[in-house]
Amino acid sequence: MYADISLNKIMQILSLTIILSLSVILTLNLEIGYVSNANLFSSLIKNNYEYLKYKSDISNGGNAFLVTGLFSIFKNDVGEDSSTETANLVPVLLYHGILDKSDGENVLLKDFKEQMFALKRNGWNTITLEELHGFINEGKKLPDKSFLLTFDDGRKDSYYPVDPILKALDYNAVIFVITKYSLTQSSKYYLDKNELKEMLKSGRWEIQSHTKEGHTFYVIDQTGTKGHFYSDRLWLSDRNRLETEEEFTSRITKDFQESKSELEKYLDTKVISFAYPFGDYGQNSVNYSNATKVVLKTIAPIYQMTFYQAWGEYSQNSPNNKILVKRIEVDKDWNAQKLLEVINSGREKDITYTDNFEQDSGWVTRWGETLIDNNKLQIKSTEFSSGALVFLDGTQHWTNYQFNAEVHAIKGESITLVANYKDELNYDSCVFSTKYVKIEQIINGTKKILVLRKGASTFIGATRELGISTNNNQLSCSIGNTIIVKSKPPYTVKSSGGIGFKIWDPILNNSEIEIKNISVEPITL
Amino acid sequence: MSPNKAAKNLQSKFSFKKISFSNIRKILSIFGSWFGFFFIIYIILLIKAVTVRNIETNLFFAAYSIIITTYILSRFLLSYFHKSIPYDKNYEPSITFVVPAKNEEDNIGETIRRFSEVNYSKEKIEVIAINDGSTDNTLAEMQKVSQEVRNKGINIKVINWKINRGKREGMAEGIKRAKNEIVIFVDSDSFIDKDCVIHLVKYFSNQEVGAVSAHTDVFNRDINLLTQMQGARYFIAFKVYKAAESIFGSVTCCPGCCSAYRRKYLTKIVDKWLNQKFLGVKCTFGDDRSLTNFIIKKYKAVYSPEAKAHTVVPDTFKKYFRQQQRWKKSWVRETFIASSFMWKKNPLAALSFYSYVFLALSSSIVFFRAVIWNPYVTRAWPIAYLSGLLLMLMLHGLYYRIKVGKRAWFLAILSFWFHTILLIWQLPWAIITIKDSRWGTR
Repeated sequence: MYADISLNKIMQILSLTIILSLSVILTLNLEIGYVSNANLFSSLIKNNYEYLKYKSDISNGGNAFLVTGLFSIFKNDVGEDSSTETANLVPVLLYHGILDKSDGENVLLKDFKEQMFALKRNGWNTITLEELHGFINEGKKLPDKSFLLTFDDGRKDSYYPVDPILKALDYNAVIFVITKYSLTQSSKYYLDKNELKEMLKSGRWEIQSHTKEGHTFYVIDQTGTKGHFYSDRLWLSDRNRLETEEEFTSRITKDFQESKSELEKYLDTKVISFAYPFGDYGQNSVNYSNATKVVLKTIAPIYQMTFYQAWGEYSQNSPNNKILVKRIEVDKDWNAQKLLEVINSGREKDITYTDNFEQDSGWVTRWGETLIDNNKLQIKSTEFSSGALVFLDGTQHWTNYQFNAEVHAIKGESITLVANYKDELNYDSCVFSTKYVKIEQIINGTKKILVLRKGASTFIGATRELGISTNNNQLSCSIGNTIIVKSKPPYTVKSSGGIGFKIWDPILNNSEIEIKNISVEPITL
Repeated sequence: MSPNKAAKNLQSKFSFKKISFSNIRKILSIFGSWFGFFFIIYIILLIKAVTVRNIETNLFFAAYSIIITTYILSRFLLSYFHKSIPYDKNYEPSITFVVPAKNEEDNIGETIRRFSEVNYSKEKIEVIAINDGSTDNTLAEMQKVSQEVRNKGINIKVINWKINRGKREGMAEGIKRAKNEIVIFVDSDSFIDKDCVIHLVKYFSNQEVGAVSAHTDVFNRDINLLTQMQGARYFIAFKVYKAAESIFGSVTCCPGCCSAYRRKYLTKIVDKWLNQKFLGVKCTFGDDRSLTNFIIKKYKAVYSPEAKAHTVVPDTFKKYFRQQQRWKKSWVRETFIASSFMWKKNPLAALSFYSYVFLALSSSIVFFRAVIWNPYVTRAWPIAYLSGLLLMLMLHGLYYRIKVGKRAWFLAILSFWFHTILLIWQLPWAIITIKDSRWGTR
């Protein structure tokens, strides 16, 4: 060998190599987000560094760093031992971007980290889409405290800050991408094809469809009003008319199909779910009352699960075999404690239940206004509503129970105790008013009065113990311990659902009650 | 050395008084060039980091891109570690210069005169000059200069062939007639320096060494841009690429301008070499590469950067073009042959060799895709490819600038870039027309 391999020369080359590779890495690091394809090494290094940091945080409560992080890779004693119980309800969390600096909309990284760590420490673990589908549609069991973590829009800042946390906590997530942005072009904002492939390879991410074209607003009438792609009929300006129902259906079908097939083709992954942009599956339509029906009918053959943001509904998913899956959108102002409260209050409650309103155990306002304060639940109408409807989250599985409440009437014509509440279109109720007591069933939005007895049953300024009882054969209403009305057998109720309150008055903003405590007892037949 | 003397020595070594203004400028300019050199490497690495990321999208082209970068950077790295051996006064084998010439009346006199001026014992020098059917005054020039040389006590033979037989025949004749241990081939348009011989010969003290290549620079460098370009190219080809190969003793071509061979090894293969056939056709060009190939099959071939020679290069595009076509053809033929045994050499040398074969063969495909196909499909200029190529050549250019000093290096590199693009089809064309030996005549 005609070579001079002296230490001197080797050191020179070594230091040059180090300087050069450091410069390359640093440059690429600075360019994260600007040169979409250039962040291989830097992100690798950053990702692993953060992973070690998080790993050491979760194992040591944040006291030691890196060194213990290195050791903690080999330990896997994070979080509580998962119980042997199975889940009755499964929450799905929704985030968008995770930021270092607030933009007034998205969750900050420090909050997100605390939230994930808190979930882990409290025994929560993520599941996959397939597991959720098994739970909702196939009767498969999941361990208690299972949740699905989702991100919408396919932003770079849903991946880079989040991935090390997932890795450290052994979590996985689903990201719903806009194929128009992520597959066809490269941007500094949306994840691109290569990044998505990398994510799939990591095994921590599932990539699913958010839409192809439907994430922007479209003109829906002559005056230029903007509406939603999947829930409004668009204005065809060249033909000076709205699109027909057929045109609407074929347009959304095409988008549902294309976003799915593009993802499957480019990323070689199975796409079984879809997240509606703006959480709108037709329910927010402006100009097409049939939208919900058409959307659900159209999407059913293409996707197995479709996700939306549930507001004023039961917040978690039960094995109801439905295609619509509820999500809890995490608010930017929630800290870890708040998120845990939200999730816990949506969990299934024991049917032997009392509440004296020391804290909010999950009262959801469908309309009107509620406030829990001074050990009271206050329910009011607003200046835009003639009443209010609230229900208790986590009670959707209750059957056969007696529900009593100590109610103080402040103003308004009627006070309603709700039982078997599924949603605002399906529930049973006892209506106590200044003129009568009646048993009313709401089925798909249609009211049906089962029994009505005239005579005042509430008095403004008075406090009464009101009750509703439901079992497989009968509904009944009571004041104090006296049953006032009963539905007549052989009419069978055969229903399940939770409890709630409704108030009403013909005049806007003129009903209000306070509840001091409630109790629920199961009825054994 | 006495302590006093050592101190003085040290003082002179680190004397700051000597640094004048012009020295500072010189230091700054060298520093700037090195900075530029490493800055280009940095840019290239940046680009490659992105390529690695996209490697799945087009495996072949991404692999080409990575391999060529690794190959080129590894040449610079290896050449940095190249070390020549010291000259040993006690080892002075006898030598024979062999110069076949055809129509070289302008240069042959000087070529031969230089043999008599080398720092070497005159009685150990033999010269064999062959006039290969020249139609000009070459023979007369030879005879004139041979008298001069003979007067200095050097044994010189002039062989005159009335009919042209070809360079390979001339070289073979030289090998057969030579009586000395080492045969040094010098082209009839090349001139050696005084110390060339001792630095060539020193390597033969190792019996494994069969051939030594001198460092050849371009004599007529300042004629025009074409010769300036070749000046840069020759320098880099020797200083970087041959030096890198030489580390493992597997220099693949000891060029005809000035290379030394051990006669003992030559005589074993001279007939085979003379009658070499490829695909049934007698080989009449690329004699130097072919001869090296015969030697490195069994022995080592090295490069001696201190053994300096100068050669005259084509100064018109037509001549340059024909020379390149001839080289490409002999490259194809000899690389094909060398591929059959290079794997037995040092693993790193073998890896380099086969990588280079892969690169050379793919380069025209990559070029076609980048410069013709992609622009046709995407309607965009092939800026990335062309600037990448220029960047790579700039790396060589800066190295040339650093090592040789102020020169028209940038223009030379631009022109090299231009010629590379212009003549990229020569290699595939050489493969297609490999059996056609008409290009063989000069």
